[in-house]
Amino acid sequence: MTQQPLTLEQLEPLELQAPVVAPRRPSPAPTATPPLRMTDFSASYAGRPAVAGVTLDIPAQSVTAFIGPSGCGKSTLLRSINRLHETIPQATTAGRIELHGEDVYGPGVDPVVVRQRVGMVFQRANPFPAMSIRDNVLAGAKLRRQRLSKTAAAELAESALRAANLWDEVKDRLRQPGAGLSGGQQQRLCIARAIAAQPEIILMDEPCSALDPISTLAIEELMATLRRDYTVVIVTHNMQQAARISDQTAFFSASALRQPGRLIEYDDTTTVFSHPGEQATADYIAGRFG
Amino acid sequence: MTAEDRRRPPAPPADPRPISALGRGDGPEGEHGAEAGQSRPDQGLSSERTLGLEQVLSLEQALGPELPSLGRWPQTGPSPAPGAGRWAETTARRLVTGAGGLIVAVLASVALFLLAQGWPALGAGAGQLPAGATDFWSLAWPLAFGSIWASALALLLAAPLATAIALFTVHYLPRRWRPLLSTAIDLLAAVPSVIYGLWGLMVFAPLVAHLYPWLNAQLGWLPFFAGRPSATGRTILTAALVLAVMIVPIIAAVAREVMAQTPVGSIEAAVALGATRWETARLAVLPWSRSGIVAGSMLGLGRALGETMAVAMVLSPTPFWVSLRLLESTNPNTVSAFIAQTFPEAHGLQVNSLIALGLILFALTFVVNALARRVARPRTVRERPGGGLGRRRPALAGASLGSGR
Repeated sequence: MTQQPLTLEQLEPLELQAPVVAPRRPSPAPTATPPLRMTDFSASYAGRPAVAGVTLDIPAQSVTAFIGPSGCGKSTLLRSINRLHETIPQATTAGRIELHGEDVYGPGVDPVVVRQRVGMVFQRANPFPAMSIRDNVLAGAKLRRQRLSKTAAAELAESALRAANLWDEVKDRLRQPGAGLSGGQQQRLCIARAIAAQPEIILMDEPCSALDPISTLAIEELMATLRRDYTVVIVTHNMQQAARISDQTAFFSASALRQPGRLIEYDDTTTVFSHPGEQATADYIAGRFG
Repeated sequence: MTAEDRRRPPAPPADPRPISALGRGDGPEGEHGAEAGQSRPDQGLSSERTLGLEQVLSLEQALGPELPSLGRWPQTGPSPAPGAGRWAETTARRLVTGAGGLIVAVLASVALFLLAQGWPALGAGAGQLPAGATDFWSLAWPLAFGSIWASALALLLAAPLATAIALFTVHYLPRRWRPLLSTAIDLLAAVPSVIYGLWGLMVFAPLVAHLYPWLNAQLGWLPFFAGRPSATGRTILTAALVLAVMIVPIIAAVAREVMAQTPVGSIEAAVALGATRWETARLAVLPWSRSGIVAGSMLGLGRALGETMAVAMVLSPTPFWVSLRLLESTNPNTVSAFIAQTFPEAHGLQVNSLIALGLILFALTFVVNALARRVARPRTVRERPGGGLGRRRPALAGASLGSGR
């Protein structure tokens, strides 16, 4: 156990015991409104609940990891935050999700507006294939009907690409199609696109699962810097990744097949990985199931 | 097929499981695919389909030319008797080879017939040609113009409408109503053209005849709408409108199928950025389906060019007439309608000249079809979003996507 803050380069990729990220404020101050608060939230597909009864607060400017075995509803939960879940026919939700104190499922709330406040990065990089790198980055900003002057657009594109650690690699070919980039670059392009829309929080649904280790490292390094400005929620199947990059970890699991996933444990990442409070968490982390 | 392939022992039935298992997302996509498959059964533009297709494609790439040698795959059932298997194999190969050869032979015989029978007409003089033409080209050129003009007008009217219909079907209409509208469109595509001709002649032409004076008054400053509007409504514009009605279902059906294949990833990318429905269509659906829409339009154009009956019934033509005016009672005729109208009384070299006109039509539709192929082809080799599977080398991708896409 070491107390000095570690940089990612120093980390052993498979290190599990050591607190790999310098601890941050583990839990939010009870008085402040967290950027994201879920209260007894459930989401279902055609009447079959995928995840149920989730209550948790996610603190600002931190990375929160959702981990758990397949089918425990963690992706569904993530997709519920920006109301993407409901785009699937017969998908329903119950309970509350508050974005800075405002219920995103409240009456009269336009899901389009919610999605403009929440950025999302998907499992597979999905840049718009017909668009140039620059237009990909600016796509979200343009949707917000901002009248962007040429210089403002160029600045926004540059700052977003810099924030996504991609600027140096693409600055000479901004007009070329985003689909021409490598898989890892495409994923960072998608992160830049999310950042350029100036979201309040960023959701990442297994952003590295389709990438090679080098590209994964680039994304993980990026997350360490994103944490300074953004609230990030990431779903990952990779426990080492959760241990490396997150401040808080939420462990989800279903009691049996066809049962909805539930939040089993939610705590500071160090605690979850070194002294899990639940036997199920300990078993999952040790690789005994899932 | 090489001789070695022929000697290969009969292939036992392949175990179908590997493919279907991959299709369900149990392959390299792993848990996410499985999760999607189980927990989102009714997902719109299903991700499973894209996934399955990609994996089948990669499977095909992996196996490549070795695909026929399915015998190497793990076997489950007992293999069939070798003798019976060989007989079936040989018979099947002969049958399909025969079918493939037959279509080439038919095409060649049609082309040969047109060339051989049409050739004498090219040198025919006054008195030998139909409609009192003095030489073949003075007869052919106004008709070719009429065919192209009517078809181009029809396409101009039909393509945007068909795209809108397809977009509505795939992107706006609630899922449960989709089959209803799709069936209606497919049914429209199957209506015989003589029925469109009857309807155009007896219902549509009189109807639009009331509209044309107004159009003439409002837009008469444009050369297209100038002149004296026809009282019967049997003008080139009416013919083009009827043609448009005929080809809308074809274009809409093709566009619908392409739009339905839009990757879920692209759509979700747009939706998650806060795009409205129309913005999602603009960001994800339309760019993806552009080449498919163009290919469908070319198919429609091909049908419009060759359409005979509806035009012959609706249009009231004037011999040797070439004009861009749409509303007048003097109108250019089309190649196919002219052939159908003139053939019953034709004799001698007149018949040959009609066949030569057919050759021109044949060449026209051939060019249109070739264009459609060119346009449609990039779809199959285009980058799939997400990199990884089937992604082309960046230099190549940049070159082809950079030009006009």
